[in-house]
Amino acid sequence: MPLFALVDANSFYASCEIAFQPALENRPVVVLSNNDGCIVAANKIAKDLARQQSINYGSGGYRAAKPTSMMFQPYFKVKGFLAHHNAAIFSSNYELYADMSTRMHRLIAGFGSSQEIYSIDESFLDLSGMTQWNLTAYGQQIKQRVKQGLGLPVDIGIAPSKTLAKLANHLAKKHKDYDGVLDLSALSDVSVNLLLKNLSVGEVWGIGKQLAAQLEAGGIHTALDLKLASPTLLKRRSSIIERIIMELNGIACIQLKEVAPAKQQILSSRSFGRPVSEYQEMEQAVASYTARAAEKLRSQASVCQTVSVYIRTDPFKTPSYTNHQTLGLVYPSDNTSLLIQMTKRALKRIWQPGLAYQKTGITLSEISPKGALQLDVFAPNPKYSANPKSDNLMRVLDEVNQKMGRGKLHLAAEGLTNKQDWRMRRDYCSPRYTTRWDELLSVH
Amino acid sequence: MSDTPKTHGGKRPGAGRKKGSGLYNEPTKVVRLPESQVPVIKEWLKARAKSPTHAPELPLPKANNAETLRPDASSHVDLPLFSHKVVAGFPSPADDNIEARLDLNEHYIRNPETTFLVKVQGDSMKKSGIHHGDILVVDRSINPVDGKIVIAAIDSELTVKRLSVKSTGTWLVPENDDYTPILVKEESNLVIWGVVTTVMHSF
Repeated sequence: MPLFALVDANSFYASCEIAFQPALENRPVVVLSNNDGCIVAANKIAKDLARQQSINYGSGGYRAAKPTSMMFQPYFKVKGFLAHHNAAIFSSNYELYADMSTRMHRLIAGFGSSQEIYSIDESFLDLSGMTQWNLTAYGQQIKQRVKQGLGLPVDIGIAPSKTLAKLANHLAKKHKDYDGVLDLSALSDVSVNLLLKNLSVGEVWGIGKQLAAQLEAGGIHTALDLKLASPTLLKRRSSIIERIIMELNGIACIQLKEVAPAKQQILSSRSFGRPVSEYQEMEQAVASYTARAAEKLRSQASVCQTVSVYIRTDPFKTPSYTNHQTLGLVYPSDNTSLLIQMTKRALKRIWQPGLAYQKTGITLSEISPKGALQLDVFAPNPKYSANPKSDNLMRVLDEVNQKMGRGKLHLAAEGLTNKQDWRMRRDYCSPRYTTRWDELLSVH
Repeated sequence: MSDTPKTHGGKRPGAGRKKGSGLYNEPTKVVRLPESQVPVIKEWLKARAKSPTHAPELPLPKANNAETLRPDASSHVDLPLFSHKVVAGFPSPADDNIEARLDLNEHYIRNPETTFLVKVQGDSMKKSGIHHGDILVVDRSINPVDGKIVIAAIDSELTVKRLSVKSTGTWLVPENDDYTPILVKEESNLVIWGVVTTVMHSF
């Protein structure tokens, strides 16, 4: 019988900070998004604190933000409240989180026959064939190993399908009694149904907001309703729903994806640390995001054939302006200099002088694996595609940057790093303890 | 040509000055030198003749923009481990016997996922060879037991001490007579962050 475990770290970003400053364990800890804008992670103490206060945060922040919760709300709304409760505030330290994530996934990998890294803080393990084991005890062992080895708290859900494992994980997190590990395969059908009855249908993996609304309208309110629903009775019968119903019934339909699928679209966007109104600065920002996206493109051995750029001013201030421009390439390419040329050309077409821009982003799309090139009789020979000289240059660029640190070697179009004061703000960033010699944790 | 041995002309064995009987007490050789350097070499030879054992260094001219080359320590170097003596000068017959490359990581880091590097401040562990500025290899997956050197969090500060679990209680013991052992009180919140496995000290 197939068996899956979903191992998921609690408040991952906040936990990474606490792992290197154990004294924070008893304080509210909050991590902010890019530019220290919104709250993206908070430890349990911070969440409980905010819940007690029952503040109405109103609208704003990320799309996921709710007026009842502090999460994803703009930082300025809770700044005073958090300071009053002696909360520790951090900017996102992506270097640290990425390294801790890699460590965690590798450490967990040894506990299953295969692993799917699902996100920065979650991975599925294949436990098939371990039906004779006490998997709750096994889960506790995984939990303990990650806690001791990395200082990160994880919760684990175990079940015969990935969808159920995800729900089990959700329950393990929610209810203290499970002590962070819930094995649905050890429970009777009746007990599982009782648990599913208390979960709303929207909490099932793969059921988005829209679909949830449709199901609710059709009288399906809980995960149990969906489990017992006959797919043929549903108004809009779809293979996706059918699959989810099978999964809820303990029939595994979604296999582990051990190799992450290549991205179909690469996006690189960021808000500025301060409004930008100089064309040259905007051009540098566009160039530097393009360079980063091109690097990602090459790392998955792909080429792209479309680039697009968008720029926008603060949407809450008038006059607000937002625009985008898409350009196609004659030949698909992965060359940074060509892509920067294109994005700069696109920017020129949408740039309006005299405005204070807040954000820009670039997108690479029509991505395909890099391979032999079909030449066009009527087009000039490609200078930047399937050209060994250009490929070698890009390889050296990537190798140097991998060895010496990101951005060590870059195109002049990106501007000088020390002059890029439009870069995002990270005022409360902790040291990059695990990736920089000069930022190691110090002990007395 | 006849087979009879020559009696006239040519080299006569044993004739001439004996080898090594000249100025330098060793065989000599004719070389071409740039004219400008002749006095330099002559000076040097004179000095060398005076004290052959402590010959001064040959003052060869340097290019104006020459710099001292420093070894570049930033790169990653694998040292090959041979099972045979290295034979220099021609293609090494030991090539077949290259076993592996010595990787310091492999020797000092058993659990890469749970191993962290931390930097020491202060000298409370001087006697165990841990000095200010040293880098410690800390493995968090090792169980902290009596006698291990550990990184402990007590009163919100991370400290490196030897863990001592005695009938008198749990102690964090410094290894420097200027410091006193810390008794971990019942009410204090002690977190053992990790166990020190190696100290890296540069001279």
